[in-house]
Amino acid sequence: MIDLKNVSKCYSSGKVNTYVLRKINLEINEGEFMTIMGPSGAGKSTLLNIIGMLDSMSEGEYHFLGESVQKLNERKRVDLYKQFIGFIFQSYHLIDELTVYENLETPLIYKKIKSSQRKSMVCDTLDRFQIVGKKDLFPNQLSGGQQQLVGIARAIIAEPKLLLADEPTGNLHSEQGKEIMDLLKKLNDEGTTILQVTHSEKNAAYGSRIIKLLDGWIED
Amino acid sequence: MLKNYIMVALRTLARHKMYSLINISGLAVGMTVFILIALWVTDELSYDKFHKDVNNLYRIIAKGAYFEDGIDGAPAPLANAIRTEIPDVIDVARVMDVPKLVISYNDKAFYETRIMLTEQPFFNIFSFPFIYGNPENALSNPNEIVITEQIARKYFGEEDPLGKILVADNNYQLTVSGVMKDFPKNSSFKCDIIASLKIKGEEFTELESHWGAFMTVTYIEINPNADIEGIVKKMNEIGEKNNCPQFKAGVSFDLQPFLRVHLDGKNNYRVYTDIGDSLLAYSFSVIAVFVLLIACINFINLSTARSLIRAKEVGLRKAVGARRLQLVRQFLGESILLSAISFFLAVVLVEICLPAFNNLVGKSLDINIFDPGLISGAIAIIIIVGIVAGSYPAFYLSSFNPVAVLKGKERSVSRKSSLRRILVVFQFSLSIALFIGTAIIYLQLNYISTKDLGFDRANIVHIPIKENTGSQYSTIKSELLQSPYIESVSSQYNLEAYGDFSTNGFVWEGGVPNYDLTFNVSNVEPDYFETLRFELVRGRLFSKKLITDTSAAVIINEEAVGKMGLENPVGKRFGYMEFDATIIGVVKNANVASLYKDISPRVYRPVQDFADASEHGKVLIRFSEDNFDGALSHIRNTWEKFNKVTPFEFELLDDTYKNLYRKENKIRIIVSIFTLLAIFISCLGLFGLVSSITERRTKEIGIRKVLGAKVFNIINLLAKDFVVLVAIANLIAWPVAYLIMNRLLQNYPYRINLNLWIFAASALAVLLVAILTVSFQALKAAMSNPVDTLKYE
Ligand SMILES: Nc1ncnc2c1ncn2[C@@H]1O[C@H](COP(=O)(O)OP(=O)(O)OP(=O)(O)O)[C@@H](O)[C@H]1O
Ligand SMILES: [Mg+2]
Repeated sequence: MIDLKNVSKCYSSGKVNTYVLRKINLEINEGEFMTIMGPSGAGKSTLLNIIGMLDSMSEGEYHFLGESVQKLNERKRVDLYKQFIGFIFQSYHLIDELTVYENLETPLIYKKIKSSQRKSMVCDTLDRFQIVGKKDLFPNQLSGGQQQLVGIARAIIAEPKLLLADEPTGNLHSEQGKEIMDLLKKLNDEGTTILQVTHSEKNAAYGSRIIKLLDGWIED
Repeated sequence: MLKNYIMVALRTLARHKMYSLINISGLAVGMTVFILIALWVTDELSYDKFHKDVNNLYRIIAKGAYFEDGIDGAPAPLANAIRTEIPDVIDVARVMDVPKLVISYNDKAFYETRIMLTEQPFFNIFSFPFIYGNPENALSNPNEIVITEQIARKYFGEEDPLGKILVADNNYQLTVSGVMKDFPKNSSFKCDIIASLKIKGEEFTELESHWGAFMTVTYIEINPNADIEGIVKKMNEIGEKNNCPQFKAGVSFDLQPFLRVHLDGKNNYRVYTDIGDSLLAYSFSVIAVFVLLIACINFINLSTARSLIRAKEVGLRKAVGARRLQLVRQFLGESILLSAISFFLAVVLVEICLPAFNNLVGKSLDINIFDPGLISGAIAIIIIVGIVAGSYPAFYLSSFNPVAVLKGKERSVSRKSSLRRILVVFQFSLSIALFIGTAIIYLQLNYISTKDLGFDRANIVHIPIKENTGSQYSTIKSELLQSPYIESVSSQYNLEAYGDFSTNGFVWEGGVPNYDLTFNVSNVEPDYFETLRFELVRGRLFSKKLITDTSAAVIINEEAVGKMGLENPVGKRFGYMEFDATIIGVVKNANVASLYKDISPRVYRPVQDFADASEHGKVLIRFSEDNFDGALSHIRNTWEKFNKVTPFEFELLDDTYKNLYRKENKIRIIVSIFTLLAIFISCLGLFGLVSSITERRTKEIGIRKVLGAKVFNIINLLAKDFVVLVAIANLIAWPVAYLIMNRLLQNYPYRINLNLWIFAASALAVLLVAILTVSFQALKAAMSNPVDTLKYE
């Protein structure tokens, strides 16, 4: 599903180029639950963002479902992204001006799903995450855990083939964290490919494969 | 999708109330100015369009030689010649004006000022529908008149006006042969009574064969595909053939499209015309667009300065699959929504301001919300303003990289924008330039309305020479002088401020002969100079005792002396055709006409009989200071004693001169209001910018205060940048204002000097307002308790 070849990412500030990812080669197959680990600043989020097409790479090749991502224009890339990828952020970013319901609806809108179908999909998801009672609340009226739940719900509502999660439990206490991890496991069992970044060995244990990043290199 | 966007837009507006208020009020005020001006300009442009085949209608003008700007007059016989010799001309109609008349019917009598003389084809050429009577045979008799609906009601009430007789000046009987609908508001012809040219009798018959008197205004209708240049050429051949004397001096005829008359006709205003000013329409449009632009800039600046607020949303929308173009559309939609809200507010403001505005511009504009033109105009304004204000913010906001904003890398989105600085400088350049312009207009008008004219215009009241006033003048004069409040009384054939007379063809003894030198001619009573307190430079004034002074003496002004090339003018002979006189004195130059005209050579001729005074003939009465009321009641009694026909009227000479600049005074008020609004909107934007920066730097301010910064240091930190920008704006505003105003002032022979202090004072005023604006916010931040802000973080 995902095929990275010699992917590098560097930031240049003035004359100095700093590599934060160096010649990454990585292959991820459909249905995998993979974990990226590594110390802070190793480049984990950067890698996830590149895979999630939110960030560009400096060198290398990236094939997603056979498409050469670096060769796509914005429009095609966004189309590909919104069709197949869901993204969960470390700090549950929700759109503050929208209610829970509207936050969940937004990706469907961009996918041009019809209004009636949108409605049933949002209702199903609200049900599934047991947040029906919260649907008209704004993010700042929710607890951190609830917000993260909505963030995950939003990431999977359009049934992505690939779910990217950047420290999904980072801001939650362990009880909530466990619930989220159980949910991810369940999604993986249902066929979603998952790529998570975590610092926690416990969370990593949910996955089927772990890669370690150190200073931009993959350690074997 | 739309619902989602609108919800977000409205919630964002509601959440950030102060900024929404700044944006909406700025745009609403800008739009109000714009709508008012647009209504006004649209009205100006709509003039005369209602005539059928209006594009085939023309006015004959004379150009060249002494008619530098072209005049609307043409010789009366030209019309008949055109009628017979130029087949492409379908119809010709001549028009003349007459001074105001007293019109009476039974016991009703009123002054009527808007009277026009013309001939029947006028009603073929122009589309003025009749209510009673038939336009096709209107004015067929010399004493027939056509009146408007309004006049018919005024004199006859509900009676049938046809065939009724109105009496003019107690003398002429005028039969109503037609009643036309009132002139539309947007007609450049506007009058109350239309009489026949033939009512002038002999006088007109004489004119009909006089190729040298450009006394009639001639309108023609031509065939739709006629060759205009061919017609002009033929007209000039006709003029040539008939030895039109002005042709020798280089005058020629030309055609002016009738549709241009309203806007381009300001040099030939007549009592029956409603004339606009294209320069004014143009300048006001430019100002209106600028004011609106200043409001749009507020939106641009505030949106980009506060982009952080939306950055997270942008990042997230991109992260759930939004394309950039979709975001651009969303933000543009928001600015159009904001523009629409502002527009509706503006419409309310316009409704409130319209009566006062109408009063200022002398129109009766109104908003008809069902007018399709107005509706499409409204939609166009909303969308254009939305796009102008929203485009840059939309592209800017939608450009955020989701990774960067979600990481909270504020630095990357809140960098100091040089564009924002440029826009602030632009806003304030406009505001300051407008302020300087307004200040100059103020000073200039103040200058010309208080300038010493070379005689004493204070404490003089004048009454027209009407009815018996002329023929019984000497009796009236001694009666007037009975009053202890009246110091002196003197008359003149025509008050120059109302109508001046000029001609060339004078000859004089010695000096440099110049047959072409144009003199203004004033026919005055011998004691005129004493009454108006002119200053004698050489020789002596007229004396009533010397018989020769009543016929064979003239006084000239200093300007004439110079232009005539005379060293010693007193005693020299001076003549015009059979008139032969001696120059007995020279008076100091005086601005007896408007200050829009330079002083030209003037010759004063003594007269004692005022029976033939012109329509502008006046009795000038100097009353003793502080005794105006006493003098006036005596004048009124005297008038009523001698003149039982026309109602009493009077005017202060000082007011007569002030009224010459009435239009300019109104313009001054409108421009000042626009300027204040422009400054207000600019400062509103500044206020918003400083607030947003203060908001973002609350924490920094708190830390600085903990570290010992004084209130002044904090204000300095926050406000300095903007004050510097406003100061820079002066660099642009000064030269621009100088160039434009200097150019405008060139039209006025008497003008103020563009001193540096006008610019400096204007700049200082705007700068002060700007400093107050920014300091207010900064002060609030500086005064806040650092513990609160830091704890909050
Ligand atoms: N815009 C940028 N400019 C320069 N350097 C950057 C930029 N963004 C990230 N970096 C650097 O890239 C490196 C990798 O960052 P990244 O966020 O991928 O680390 P991470 O492994 O996710 O760390 P953490 O566990 O703390 O989240 C860091 O050293 C960071 O300083
Ligand atoms: Mg990270």
